[in-house]
Amino acid sequence: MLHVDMDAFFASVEQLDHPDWRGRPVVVGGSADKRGVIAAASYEARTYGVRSGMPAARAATLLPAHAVWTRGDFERYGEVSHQVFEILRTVASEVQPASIDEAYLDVTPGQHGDHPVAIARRVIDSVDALGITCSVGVATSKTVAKIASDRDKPHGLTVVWPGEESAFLSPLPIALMPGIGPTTATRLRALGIRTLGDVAALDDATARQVLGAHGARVAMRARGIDPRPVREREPVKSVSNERTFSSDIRDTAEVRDAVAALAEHVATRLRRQGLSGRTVHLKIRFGDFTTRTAQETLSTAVASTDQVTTTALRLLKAQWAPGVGVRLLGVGVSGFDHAALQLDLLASASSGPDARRAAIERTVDELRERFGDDSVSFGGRHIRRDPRDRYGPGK
Amino acid sequence: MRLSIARGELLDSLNVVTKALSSRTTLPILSGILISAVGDSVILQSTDLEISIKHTIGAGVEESGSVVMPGRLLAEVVRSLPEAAVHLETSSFDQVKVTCGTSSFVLRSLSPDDFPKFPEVSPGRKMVIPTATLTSLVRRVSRAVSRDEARPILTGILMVIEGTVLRVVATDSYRLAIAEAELPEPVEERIEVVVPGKALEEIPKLAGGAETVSMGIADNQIIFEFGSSVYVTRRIEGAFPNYRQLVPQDGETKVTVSRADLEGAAKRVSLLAQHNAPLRVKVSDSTLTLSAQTQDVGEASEDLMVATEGEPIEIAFNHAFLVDGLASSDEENLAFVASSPLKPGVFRSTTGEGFTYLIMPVRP
Repeated sequence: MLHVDMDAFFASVEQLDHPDWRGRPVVVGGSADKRGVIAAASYEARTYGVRSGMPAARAATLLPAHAVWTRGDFERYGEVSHQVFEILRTVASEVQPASIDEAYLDVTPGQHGDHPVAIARRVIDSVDALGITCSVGVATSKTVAKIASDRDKPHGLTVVWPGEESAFLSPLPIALMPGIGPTTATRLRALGIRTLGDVAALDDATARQVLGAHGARVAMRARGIDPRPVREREPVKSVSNERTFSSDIRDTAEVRDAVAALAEHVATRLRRQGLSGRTVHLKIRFGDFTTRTAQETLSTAVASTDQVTTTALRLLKAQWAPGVGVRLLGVGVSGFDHAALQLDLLASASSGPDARRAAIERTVDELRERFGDDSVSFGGRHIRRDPRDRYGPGK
Repeated sequence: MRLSIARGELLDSLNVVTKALSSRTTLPILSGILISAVGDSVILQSTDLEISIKHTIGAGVEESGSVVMPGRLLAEVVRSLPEAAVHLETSSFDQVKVTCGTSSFVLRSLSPDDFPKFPEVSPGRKMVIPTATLTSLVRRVSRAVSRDEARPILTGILMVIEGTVLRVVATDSYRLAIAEAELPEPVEERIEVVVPGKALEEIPKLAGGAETVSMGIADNQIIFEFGSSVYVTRRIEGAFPNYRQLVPQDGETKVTVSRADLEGAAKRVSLLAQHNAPLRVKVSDSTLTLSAQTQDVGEASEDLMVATEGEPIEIAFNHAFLVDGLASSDEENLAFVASSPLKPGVFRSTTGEGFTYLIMPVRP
């Protein structure tokens, strides 16, 4: 099992594209004078104590004047990520993306040609050739590989040989374990549990008591036991998109257009993945930071732009009064019914408005597939895209 | 305006006209009922701009005139009154006094000049339908009417009149129901019209006391007349799905089953078809098995002895759609025809009831 983790991915791509930024602290996302959080920090920036997820205002107090602030070019990151995954797919048959910049690879000896460590070296070399770097962890399970990839960053290769898992894990601090957040870590430390060895020593009942429902599993992982296989795609539970506006919007047409654009994006992603869901969600964060979510469950699963948009706008009407400032909008679809798909009597008919609409959506999907997401859009959705707005997958 | 009227008769009339009251608050006049007293009768009118209702009753009119009164409030006031004569009297330009026995109410009124004119419809064609026939036809298809305003045409019921046959069709694209009945009088020319489902469901209820309903069809509107009521609704424009093409004529598997038994079994098994879990119908030999399974909850199954013909089959449906169809009919036995788990299953009456109910399966 390999865990491949890109080193300061967004910042490295920026430094690759802007040679004069190399060697300087680079932070992506947010700006020193505006709200926002740091999406990524170069290693130079990290020496000043800046970390991703830190509020921009705080990072500004830490960084020197020659630091580079950039809003980021997420399309470009997606492009580079795509190149990296191309490389990964040439060395392993099963590649499971964990995010835009990390992945698990199944390289079990006997089923794949080379020795796992040789494959790991090849990955590191091939990524180097792109002008950026990654770190790789090699182990018998996902958890151990992930922790290993982080041991020798950047540009590191850490191998945990079979049988050495618990020896490798046991001295490490508990916060390194995926699934143990800062709050849990603090609570565990208060109980005298400081290392992963301490976690591994817990019996199931105690583990559940101090770590919650998944406690027993976390303890197993701390012992180096993690039977999860590498899967091309984890079953998706929901598809959503959010947009944060750099300044609050309050105009009815603007808010409706923004919801429609998000709904369209979500519906396109649904169709791309061959999914359809019964529950449409809308999330609104108002200017005063209060957040409201609403959902509507439909009688059948939907994936068409039209149906997702109509439902999302209906939810908007119920949740938002025109004129009220909106800071963030999110649209999502869940309730995927892999089990039972209600067939439509009229869908097979090749005429009628629904068939036409479906045909249009199929064509738009194909065009986007070939020429990119911005190549074509529905009328009435030509909204001004403020480059300061942040788009991202919903939570 | 000054008039007296029996409380019961006024309440009956109000129950009819309140059906067209608008719930939109943007046009307050539409939440009112126009009351006009002329000669020895009173005319009540309401409209939400899609449906308009006019109802005429006899009354003791002492002074003619007209006024618009708040519809729902007036109906509630009259409902609360004892059974006696109710007196309505305009007390100033914008007030009406309602008295009955020792009770007295003063209600604000609106100007009758602002009330929309009752639509003048000159129907090109007219026909008479016995109320009982209309009631039973609508009952058999109303559950298949779509409630989704995104596809307006499916929120309507297609009425087809050919000779003496009146056929009604409704579909929400997941199921399709057809019911037929004979009319006492033949119609010369074939008629096809799509009537809003809501209107067609209301009319038999409102016309309960009348023997027949007269239906007139104009270019954009349909006018129903029954008893002392006139009910005008818009027609739904657009092409209704071609139901003849959609209903398969034959199938690989045919079953004849007691409708009531199947309905009872379907209702029981449905209890374990939660969260959109399908209800499976399996036909083999002389047994029809219904089963359902909800993950983490449990499962149910029930066998029915049936007369089968043709191939065994297993097909899954949305349980609510199945129960709806079975509950729509009064037949003793229904024939069930299916040919593939991905093609529609069809229930048909075995006698002359003229009932067809098609359900699209769910792909398990």
